[in-house]
Amino acid sequence: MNDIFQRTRERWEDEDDILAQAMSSLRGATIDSTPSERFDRDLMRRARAGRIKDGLRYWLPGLIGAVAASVIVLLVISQVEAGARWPFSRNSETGTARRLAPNSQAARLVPVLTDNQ
Amino acid sequence: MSLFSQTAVAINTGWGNLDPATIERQWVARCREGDEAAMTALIDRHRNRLIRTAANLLRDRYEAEDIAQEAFLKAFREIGKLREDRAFSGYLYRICVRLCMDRLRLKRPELVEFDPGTPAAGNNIENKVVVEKLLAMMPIDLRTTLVLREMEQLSYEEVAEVMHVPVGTVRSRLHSAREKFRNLWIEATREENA
Repeated sequence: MNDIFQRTRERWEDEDDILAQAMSSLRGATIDSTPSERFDRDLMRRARAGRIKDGLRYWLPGLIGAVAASVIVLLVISQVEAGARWPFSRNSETGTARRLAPNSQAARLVPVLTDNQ
Repeated sequence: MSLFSQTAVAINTGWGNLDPATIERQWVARCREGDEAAMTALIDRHRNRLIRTAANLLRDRYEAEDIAQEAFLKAFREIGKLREDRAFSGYLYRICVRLCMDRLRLKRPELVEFDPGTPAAGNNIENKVVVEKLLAMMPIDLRTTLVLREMEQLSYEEVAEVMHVPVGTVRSRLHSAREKFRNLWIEATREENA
């Protein structure tokens, strides 16, 4: 009986030894790495680039929206302005006359002005 | 970071009378406002530890630097979400370990290459090669737990916090990891002796 206990204990001790050796070899393989000289510089560069990118990502939708809105507003204004002129030029003869007058009567009007002077 | 360099940073920033934890809280608060000097100070404080942990997990110094940079960038980007300024250190470390685990998942075991790194005292390259191969054969969760506990010397609570699991899970994983590593190590040394 004592013999069995003895052998079991020895086997456990052997297993403990093996585990201790394995763990020792594991700890011995620790890499004590030192950072390269470029580490800080590269990291700061990446951080700055990231901040710019984040800023763009934040403001870009707003900028695009603002540009789109201003384009739409300009288009609407130009349409309204053109629309306001059309009825006179199409439907009224006076309107047409008024539009054509500066071209056809310009020569006549200019001497009148100069004569008055 | 050594005590000397911590003191040096404290003096450089004009906070010589404050303890490192308080200084770090100030740095985090300033960093939130986009202060680059505070950012540099935080990098200086945590850089070495972060790179070492990543190098031990990934077994590749260059990849470790890349991951450490990514961890810093992610932490700075999300620093506004941090509720307590004092939690920055753990937060940063957690990000780094998670990124390492993600990177390990992407790698296939046979693609893991040996990187000798800086030889530790009383150790040889052969041992590093063997350990490298054995770690590559282990499941990622077990491998990470084992490295954090045995190589990084973290407490069970710290490992649990970093890996975001209960302490009981860490204990069971560590037990399995040690068993697995021991069996692999026996096989490896048997092959070597044969």
